[in-house]
Amino acid sequence: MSDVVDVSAEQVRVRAALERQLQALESLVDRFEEALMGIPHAAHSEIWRGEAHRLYVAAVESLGRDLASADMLIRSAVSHTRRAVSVMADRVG
Amino acid sequence: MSGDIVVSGGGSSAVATEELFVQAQQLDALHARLVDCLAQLAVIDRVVASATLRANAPASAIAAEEDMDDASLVISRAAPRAAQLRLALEQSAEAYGFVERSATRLTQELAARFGWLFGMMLPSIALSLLPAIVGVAGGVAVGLALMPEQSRKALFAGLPEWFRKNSTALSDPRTVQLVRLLVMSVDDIGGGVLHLPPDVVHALGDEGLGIFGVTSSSAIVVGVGGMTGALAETPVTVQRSGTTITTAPLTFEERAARLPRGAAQVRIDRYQQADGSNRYEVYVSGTRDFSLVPGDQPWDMTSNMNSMAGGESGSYRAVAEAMRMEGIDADSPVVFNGHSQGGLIAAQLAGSGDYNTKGVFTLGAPAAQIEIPSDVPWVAVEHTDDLVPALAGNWQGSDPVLVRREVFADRPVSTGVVFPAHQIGPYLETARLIDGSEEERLVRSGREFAEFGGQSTTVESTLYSAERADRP
Repeated sequence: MSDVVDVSAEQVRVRAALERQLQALESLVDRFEEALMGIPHAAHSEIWRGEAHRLYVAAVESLGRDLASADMLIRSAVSHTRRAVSVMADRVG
Repeated sequence: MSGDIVVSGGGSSAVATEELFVQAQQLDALHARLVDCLAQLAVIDRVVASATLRANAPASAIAAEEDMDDASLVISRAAPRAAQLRLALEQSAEAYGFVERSATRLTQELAARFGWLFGMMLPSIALSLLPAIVGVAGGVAVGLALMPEQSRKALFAGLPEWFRKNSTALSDPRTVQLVRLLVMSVDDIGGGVLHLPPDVVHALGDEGLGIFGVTSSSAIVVGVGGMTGALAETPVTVQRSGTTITTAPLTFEERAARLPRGAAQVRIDRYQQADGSNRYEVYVSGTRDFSLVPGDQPWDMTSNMNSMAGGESGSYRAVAEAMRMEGIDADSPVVFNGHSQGGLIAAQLAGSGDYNTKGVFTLGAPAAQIEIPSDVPWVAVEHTDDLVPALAGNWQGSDPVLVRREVFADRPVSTGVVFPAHQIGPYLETARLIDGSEEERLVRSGREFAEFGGQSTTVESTLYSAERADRP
């Protein structure tokens, strides 16, 4: 009997923790979006000429692509956490 | 890069377009945000312990954990790249600044040596060309003497027309740079003429101790001119000509727009503070009369040359008198603004140590030889196709936030006016670009200048007109 109580209490703690994680991740999504907006518009810049300009633009664009993938991962984490919270809610009420 | 503003100075050795500095700042901010996000992710990752997760959480919670780990990995790799890109931009600006300074120094040295050699050979050249010189000069002199006075006046009146027609060549940045070099080499030519050893000339000149240079060369011109009645200074009289109520300027463009363009040459805005004290902003206009012999107008070539020679010109004394009439003393906080000769006077007043200067804003001013304490914010704007600031030579002594722009980089040179890149219109455009810039030094300077009059309860604007008196 006591085992059942312990498992349930643990699951309540996990659910609460997942809810805190969800809240923190949602806040992180906003902050990360701000960071993404701060990526310089290198393609239209007139910094340098020729090859140096091409390399700079390529480097900034590659950075942008990587950060876009990180953004997707964070959003995916939010989505997975939300689903987990929902599952835990079904389990522990 | 056409029409872009290039920023240098203000305590930094980097030189680059405003855009480069802004992108470096954006990358710096991006790096800081990524580091912050990474730290947050690490904290979030610890909210649910891994062991608990594996034992009690659904698969989606484990997937979320994996997403966070992957995101952390990507961000941890991206953040240093943002920092490296910023560093690359800054290093290129530093390198450009280094190359520009080295090139300036080298060309100045070469021009100085060439100037000395030219000066050394000048007597021989003059001697060999004497018959031709005498012939031509004599012919010109006789021609001018025989010419009816009206025709002679028409000939001199035609000079501005000649400058206007040749605006394209005179506004070429290479011409401007050549003039700058020539100005810096005048002392070396003089040293050569006097057969002084080149090393002595070098050591005493602009490239060395700076005892002889643009200022002393200008003083010689003023001295020689004085013997013929030209460029001779006179007393000046100043009259207050009208007061209005206004507001404090918030931008550099507003400041440039306030420079007097009518009969008055000086405008002083008095900022009344809540505690009863006053602050002042002084606006000084550019040259009004280009004749070499002084007339009624103190904003003339006599003032230009005497100011360049380091003396207290008529226009300098007129502004100082207007300030005295306004009640400005050594303790009154004051900001100086000026275009062309007005900028030179503004810088001289700020550098005199006689005033409690809180800022200097100059446009197209031949003020490169003026020393102003480094703790006084100074924003100096120069067009690289404007000959006038080049007449002061290379920047020495002071380190203002120097904003440069080629006005006619992407459009044909206007031939409608003399020295089109020197006109206040293009300088207003550049001031607008400075206001819109996100470059750190320009933003900081803009804030410092805007704060100066920001807390004023009332702003009273007074115009002052000056005239020369007791002309020779």
